[in-house]
Amino acid sequence: MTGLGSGAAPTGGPVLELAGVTKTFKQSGGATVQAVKATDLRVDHAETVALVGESGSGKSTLGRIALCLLRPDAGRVLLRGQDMIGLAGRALREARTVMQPIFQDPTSSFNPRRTVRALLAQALPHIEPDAREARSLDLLDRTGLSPGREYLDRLPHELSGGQRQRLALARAIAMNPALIVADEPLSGADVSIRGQLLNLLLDLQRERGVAYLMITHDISIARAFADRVAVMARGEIVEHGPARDVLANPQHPYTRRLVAAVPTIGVGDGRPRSSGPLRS
Amino acid sequence: MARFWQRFRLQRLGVAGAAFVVVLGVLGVAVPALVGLDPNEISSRVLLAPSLAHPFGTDELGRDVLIGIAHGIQVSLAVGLLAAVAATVIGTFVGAVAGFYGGLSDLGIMRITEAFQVMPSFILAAVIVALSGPGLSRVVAVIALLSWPQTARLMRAEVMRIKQLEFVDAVRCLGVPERTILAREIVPNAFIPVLAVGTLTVGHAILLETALSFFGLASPETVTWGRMLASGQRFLFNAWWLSFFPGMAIFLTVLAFNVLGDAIGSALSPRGGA
Amino acid sequence: MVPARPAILQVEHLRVAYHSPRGVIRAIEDASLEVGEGEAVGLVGESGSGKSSLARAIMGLLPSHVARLEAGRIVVDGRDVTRATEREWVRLRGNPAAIVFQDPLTYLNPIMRVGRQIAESVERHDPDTTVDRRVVELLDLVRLPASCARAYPHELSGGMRQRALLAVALACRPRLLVADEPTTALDVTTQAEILALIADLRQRLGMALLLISHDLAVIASACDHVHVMYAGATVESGPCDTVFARPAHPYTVGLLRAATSARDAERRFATIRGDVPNLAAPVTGCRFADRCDLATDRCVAEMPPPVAIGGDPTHIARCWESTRADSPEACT
Repeated sequence: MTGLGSGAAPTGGPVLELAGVTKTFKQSGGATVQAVKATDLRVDHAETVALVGESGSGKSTLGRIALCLLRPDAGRVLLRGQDMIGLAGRALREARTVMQPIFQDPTSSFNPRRTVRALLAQALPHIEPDAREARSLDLLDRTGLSPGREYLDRLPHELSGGQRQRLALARAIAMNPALIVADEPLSGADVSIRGQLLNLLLDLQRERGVAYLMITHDISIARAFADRVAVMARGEIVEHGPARDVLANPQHPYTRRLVAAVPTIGVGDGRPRSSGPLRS
Repeated sequence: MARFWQRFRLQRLGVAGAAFVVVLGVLGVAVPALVGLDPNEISSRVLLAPSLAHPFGTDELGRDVLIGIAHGIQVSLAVGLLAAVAATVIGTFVGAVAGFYGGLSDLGIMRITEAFQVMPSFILAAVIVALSGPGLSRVVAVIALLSWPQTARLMRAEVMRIKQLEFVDAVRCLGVPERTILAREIVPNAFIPVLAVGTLTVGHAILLETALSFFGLASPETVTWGRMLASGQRFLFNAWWLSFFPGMAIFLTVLAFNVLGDAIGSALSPRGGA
Repeated sequence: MVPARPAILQVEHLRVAYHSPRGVIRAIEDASLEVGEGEAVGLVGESGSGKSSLARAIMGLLPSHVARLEAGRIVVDGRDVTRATEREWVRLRGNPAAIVFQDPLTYLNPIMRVGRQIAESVERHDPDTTVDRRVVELLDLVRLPASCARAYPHELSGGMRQRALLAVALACRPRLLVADEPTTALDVTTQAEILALIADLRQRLGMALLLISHDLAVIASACDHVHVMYAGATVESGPCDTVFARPAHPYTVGLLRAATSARDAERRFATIRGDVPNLAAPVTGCRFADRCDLATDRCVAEMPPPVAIGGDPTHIARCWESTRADSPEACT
C-alpha cells in the first residue's frame, strides 16, 4: 500500500496542490451558494499552512475537498503529484492514506462503540495483527497517552477532551502520512493544554517531516504555529504568504479587519499590556 | 459484551421482563410436552370458577383454562418473535440502504414504505388471511409485512444522522470501503433504537395475532389466547375467568417485551454515544 | 479588597458542591469576588474552574436538587441572597443583575419571535411602559433593525442572536450584566462588535459588567479588574494591568504564557503540564500543586491564604511561592 513508512519522504514538489477548485451547493428553494470559488492552495513537505477564515468562508469545505471527502465541481486535487479526482474505488482508497484528518469535534471523531484498541487497529491494517498492540502502545506513548496500557480498553467517552484530541493525533499518524489536514484541532482543548498539543505537533513534524494544513479561525495560533497562511473569505483566498508577514502587515482590507478585531495581551516591551478594539 | 450485561443487570424492570419471558418460554415448551395435560380434553366440569384443582377455572366444555393458556404460549411467542425478527431484518436492511445511499433508491423505498403504512393494518391482515386461508405461517408473514416499514423508517433516520458524523469520514480516510463503513461503523450504532422498537413489534404482533384469532381468522385447531378470548366473551358476566386470564396473559407478555426492549436499548447505547 | 465604589455584587468564600448518587463534585471550593457599581470585572478560568457554577450561583440558577451551597455568602446590591428561596429569586433576577449566556440559539425560545421574547422581559420588569415602543428602543440600543422583532431566532445570524439575547437582558434595566462566555461561539469580527457594543452600553447605562471567559485576551480588552479561578478557587485577583504585567500565581503565569503562545529558546510552546483538575477527588492543599513546578510540601498540605502582593491591597494571590512565580523556572 502506498504512503506507509515512506509517507513523508520528500518527493520534490508540493505534498498537496489544489488548483482552480470550485464547489457550489444547491440550497432548498433553488438558490445556489458558491462555497469555494476557483481556489488554489499549496502545501509543501514538512511545512505548516494555516487556512484562516470565519464561518461561511468556505475553509471547511476546502478542507473536505482536500481530503477527497467532497468532489469539487471543477479544478484539480494533486496529492504528491497524483491526480486524486480521477481515482475511484480501490485506487482511491489506497492513495488517500497518505493524507489523514483531525476533525474539530473530538466527541464525534470516534465510533462510540469501539475501544481505543479497536480504533487504532483500524488505522494499522498494514501491520500484522500480532504486532498491532505493540504499535498501538507506541503510538499512545508518543502522543502523551501513557501508560498506553491503561487506555487500550477504554471507550472514547471515557477519555477527557484533551485525551481524545491526542487519540485523534495518534490515529492520524498511525499510517505515517505525508500530510495531516486538521480542522480546528485545538478548539476542544483548554488553553493551558494547548501548548502541549502544539509541542506534540511540532515534534511530530520535526521527527517525521509531516506537513500540516491547519484550518482555523484563531489567528493567534496561525501566527504562532504556521509557516504560511492563506486567508479565506466568501469562498476565495484573499491573501496568502508567510505567516508572520501577512499577519503583521496585512494588505487586503479583509485581512486587516480580521487582524484588528483580535484582542491581544500584547507583549510589547517585554511587559504584557492589554490591548484590543475597546479598552475602556 | 461484559459491559452490556453489567449495564443490563442494573435495569431492574428489564430484568423482570426478561425473567418473565424466559419463564414463559420454558413453560411454553415444557407443558405441551407433558402427557396428560391436554387443553382440548372435554369434561363434565363446566364453567367452574378458579379453585385448587383448576387454578384458572374451566370453560363451557370443561376444558382447563390454565392448561389452555400454557399451550397458547407457543403460538403467541412464536408468532410474535418470528414476525418481529422478520420485520426487523427486512426493515434494517431496507432502511440502511435507503439512508446511506440516498438518491433515487431512497425515494423509491420511501414511497413503498409509505404505501404500507397508510393501509389499516388489521383490515389488510384480515383480508389477506381470508383470501389465502388460515395458517400460522401466513399470519406471521402478514404481520411481518405490515411491521417492517416502521423499522425501515427509523433505521433510515438513524443512518442519515450517523453518516454525517466525523468518525465516518475519519474511517473513510483510512481507506475503508463504503460497504464496510455502512455495515461495521454505521449500522451497529443505528441499530440500538431499532432494537428497542423491535421488541415493541413483538408486542404488536402478538396483539395482531390475538385480533385475528378473535375473529376466527387464524388456525381453528390450535389453542391460542385470542381464540380463548373469543369464546370467553359470551360468558363475560358469569364466567369472568374465561376472559380475564387470557387477557392478563396477553397484557403481561406484551408489557414484558416492551420493558425488555427499553432495557436492552439503554444497556446497549454507550454513554455519550452517537 | 477595598472597592472605591459601593459594590453591586459581593461573593465571599463561596463553596458549592453537586451531590449525585455517583459521588460529590466540588465545583466551587473557595471563591471570592466583588463588582463595584459601574465596574467591568473579568472572571477567567478553564474547564473545572467553577466559573460557570459561580455565574449560576449569582443568579440563583444552580440545579436545586443536586447543588448544595455549603459555605460563604452572595450579596447582590447590599442584599444577602445566599439562602434566598426560589420565589425570592424570581423577583430578584433581572434586576439588579441580568445574565446572558454563550449560545443564544439554546437560550432563545426557537418557536417564539424575537420581539415577543423581548416583550416578555419588558412586561415582567417594566410593567408601566408601552411594551411595543420599549421593544423598539431596546432593539435600537443593541443596534438591531426594528424588523428583527418579527424574526425567529434561527433566521438571525449568530451575532444578531447574541444582540437579541442582550436586549432581553437589558429590558430588565439591570445594574449588573453577567455575561457567561458571550462571544465564544462567535466569529472574531462579530466578537469584536459584541464586545464593543457591551462597552458602549456600559458607558451609556452606567451598567457594571461581570465577564466570564476562558479567553484572557477578551478579558484583558474589556475589563478593568480580573479574577483568576482554578479548580473552584479564586487564585489571583487584581487590576488587569497589574495582574497581566506582574502575575503572582504560577497558574496565571502559565495561562498568560499559553495565551500569548510564547515560545522558549528551542521554539517550543509554553505550556502547563498535566491535565485539568478532577473535581470529584478531595484535596487538602493547593489544587494546582500537581501541575506546578514550584510546589513544595507545604503547598500540597495546606491551601495558601489570600495575600496582598507587593504591598498592593488590590492585587491578591493565593500562593505560598508567589515571590518566585514569575521566574523562568516556573512552568515549562
